[in-house]
Amino acid sequence: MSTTTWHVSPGLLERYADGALDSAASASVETHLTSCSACRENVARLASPTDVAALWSGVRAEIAVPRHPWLVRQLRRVGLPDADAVVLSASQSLRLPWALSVMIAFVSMVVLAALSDRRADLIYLAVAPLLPAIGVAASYDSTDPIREIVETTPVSKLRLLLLRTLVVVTCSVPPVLLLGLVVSDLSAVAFAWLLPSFALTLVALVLLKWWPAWVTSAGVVSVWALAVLLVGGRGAVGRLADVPLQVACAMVALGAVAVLVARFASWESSGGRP
Amino acid sequence: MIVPTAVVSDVTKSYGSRKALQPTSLRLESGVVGLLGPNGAGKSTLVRLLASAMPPTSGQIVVDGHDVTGSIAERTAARRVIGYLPQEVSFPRGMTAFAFVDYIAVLKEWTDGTVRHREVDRVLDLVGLGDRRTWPIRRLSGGQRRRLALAQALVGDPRLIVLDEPTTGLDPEQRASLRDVLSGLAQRGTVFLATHQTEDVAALCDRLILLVDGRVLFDGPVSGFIATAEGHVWVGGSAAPDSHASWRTGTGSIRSVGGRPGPDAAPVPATVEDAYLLMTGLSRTPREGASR
Repeated sequence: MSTTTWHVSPGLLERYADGALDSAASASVETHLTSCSACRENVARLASPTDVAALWSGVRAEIAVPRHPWLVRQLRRVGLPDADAVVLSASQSLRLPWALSVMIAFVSMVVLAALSDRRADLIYLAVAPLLPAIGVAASYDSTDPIREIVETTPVSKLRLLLLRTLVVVTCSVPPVLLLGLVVSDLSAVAFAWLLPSFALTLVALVLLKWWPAWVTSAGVVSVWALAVLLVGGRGAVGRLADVPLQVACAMVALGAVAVLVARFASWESSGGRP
Repeated sequence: MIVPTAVVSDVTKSYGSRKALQPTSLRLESGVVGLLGPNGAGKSTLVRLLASAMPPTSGQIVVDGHDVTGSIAERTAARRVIGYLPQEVSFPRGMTAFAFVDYIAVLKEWTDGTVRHREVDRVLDLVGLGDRRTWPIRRLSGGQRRRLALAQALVGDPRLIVLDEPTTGLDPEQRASLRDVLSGLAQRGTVFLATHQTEDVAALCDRLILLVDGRVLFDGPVSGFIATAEGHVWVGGSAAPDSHASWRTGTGSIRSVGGRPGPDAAPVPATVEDAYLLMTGLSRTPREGASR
């Protein structure tokens, strides 16, 4: 029921309905409309059904479209396309590597602060390279509950794999790197784990064709733990950062890349899974 | 000349030493095609092959002119016109109905957000979930989840819609509504429907394929399938001797399929279910009725 004694002139109301008023005049008309049912009825008659349908569709979409998780919103701000954001938001497994990285980084910081310098180096180099590899295994599409549907869609499976891998690595590397830089006495090896981590992540991607995610994770953890014990376990932690080990890791990474490329080439010609 | 939606040529599928699908050739045109068969007959294998969810062991599958078994470009082109509903769908946790279909729409290359959201709204309305779009999937009933899974298969109005047991978990009203949707879609393309529900086939399908032990036993119109059982179905006070199946009906009389009629048996019109029981029974235990 109308509570006002004056009404917006038909001409002004028509211009408002056409969207021809400036923002100040529009705001003034809208303020009046909130308290005047007669003017609301008049403006409803002026609005075109197409505009109302489009507006309603927009409102419905605004309500229905879910909000992306925090991490994906940040990636959207730095240019991640909308479609990729939807894919990443749907990948529930991304939450696991993110939570895992932050938790392990935090726990490691507490543990390292309580240990002597040499052991801190060793533990840091033993744990840091594994986080991205475990995260990639956890987010691999074998853990996707709708894998069969995804498989029959035209989207590039290589793009999906790389997108997930990239985001897992992006969210798991910074906390670990930060840890190495802020904890005293770790700065000497703060970057030494990056190449081993790169190699382990790629090896995990290769192994995931045959092994489930947890077996793959256990495999890379075991191999790297053995390497750390053999190379750095006798008090020579620095050797883990030496050129020979770094070169070996680079070679392993290149080999894994070659296997992945060959696998996708074979997939292309056979119609099977990569 | 009618352009086929899909052509399956001498396709086989083996899992290790077990041959799940014997050499099979099909030509699918517009309409609803029903695929019937007992458990383990190879229905899901054929469905998955047609949906490009796995490659065949041998043979060729062409969908909308694109060779699914060819290069990745050809397979991708084929997948652009395929909608697929697997037998079982486990939904990602924490998603709403809208978010789930939106995700699949992105994977189907609907990259423009505004257009995509309109399409998601359209398919959710089509399966009767428009008012549940913002609901978390965990709050949906079994039937609603099945319809949600179907909605993702309908994104983009695909020419070939491959459905594995789409009516599982739906109540009679929902099934009737679904049949209406599917028959509408079949005007523009092919709906390939694997099911155990013979009444769905009778109500919906133009053509029926019966698969037993990986072989196509029947491929033709539903009326032709029913005709194979005419004269082999009786109702009487006792089961027909040597019948393939018999059961007591709601009126207390015994309905028998196959075998010889008893002394008090009267012939009755056959149904899809009768024809199915007769044909699968004959394929398992060939006896005198097999020569008819």
